[in-house]
Amino acid sequence: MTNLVHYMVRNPARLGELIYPLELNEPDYQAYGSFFIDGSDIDDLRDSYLFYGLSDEVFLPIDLRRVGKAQFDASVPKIGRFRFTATKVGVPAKYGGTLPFPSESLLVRQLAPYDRTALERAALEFNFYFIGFSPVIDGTADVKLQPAGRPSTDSQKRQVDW
Amino acid sequence: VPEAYIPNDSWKRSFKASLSPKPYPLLPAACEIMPRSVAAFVLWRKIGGSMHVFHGTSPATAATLASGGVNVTEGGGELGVGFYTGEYLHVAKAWAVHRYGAKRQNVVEFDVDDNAVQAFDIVWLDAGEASFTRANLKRSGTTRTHAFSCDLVWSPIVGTDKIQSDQHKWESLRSETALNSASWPKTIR
Repeated sequence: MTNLVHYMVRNPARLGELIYPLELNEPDYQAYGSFFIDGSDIDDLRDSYLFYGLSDEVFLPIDLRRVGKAQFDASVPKIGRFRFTATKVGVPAKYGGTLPFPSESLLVRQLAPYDRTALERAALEFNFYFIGFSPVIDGTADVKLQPAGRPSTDSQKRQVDW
Repeated sequence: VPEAYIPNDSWKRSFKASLSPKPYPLLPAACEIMPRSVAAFVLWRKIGGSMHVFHGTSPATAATLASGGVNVTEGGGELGVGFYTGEYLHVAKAWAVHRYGAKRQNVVEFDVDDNAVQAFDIVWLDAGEASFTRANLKRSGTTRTHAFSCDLVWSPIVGTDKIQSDQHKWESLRSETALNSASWPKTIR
């Protein structure tokens, strides 16, 4: 189980698998991803997830808080509050990459924004984007990140429990 | 390798031709059966002006593309060979950050001339057709080679099951020339 909101894409080489974009083998392959969490049953959903955003080129850990059966809110200071629904994925997919992802964990829910135009407005007016988690965020990928972009306190690091 | 099955799209080309002389009648019954991608195109036509589309990539490639370096034969994706754009900046940004690890200067915005695009040969796919096409291209291993033999494919993004937003696959030399022309302004974001 993981409390992260993952950004993944369908593996173009294998049906039923999700991978992180960095794990795509083919250069110049476009495969827009989506935000995934685990939990096939509604009772499996957590009260809170860690949902990364990018604000003015700095990674921002945001608390995605459950406010309903499958509804979640993410409040971003000075920008606004955004609501998402955790909808069931038609074809449940396993993580098919090479990183130490919990093998028993199926990613079966996808976050669908209530108001996509609000997300676009935040992007255009505030330079803010929800981006989710991939190895780019925590530096396990070979990508140099700004130190200010990572969770900087122990409490924030402890939230990432996978 | 079996040839990928592609849905017959001849009715859509006829449908597009029928759009030209008059606005599409936005009746509720028609809206229910009208694919979202078609609805987006119709709305775009009615509003007029230009459309902004976004392509997420690495900063180096963004600089090349913005200076007229689009090549429709180099890219590939769930709908085959072509140059892909999407309708939202935030979608392109998330892709670019995770795929290329760069946080800035990683999206190219194209200010598309709608009059030019209206003259294009466009294939619309609804979500079901796009999913079916994608699965068949994947099965036949033609995600880097399949072409619809049109200028532009307009379809929902289907790789993640739920409809996220629309994508556009620019496929022909004519569309490549248009994307690279100075009359379609390009901005790196």
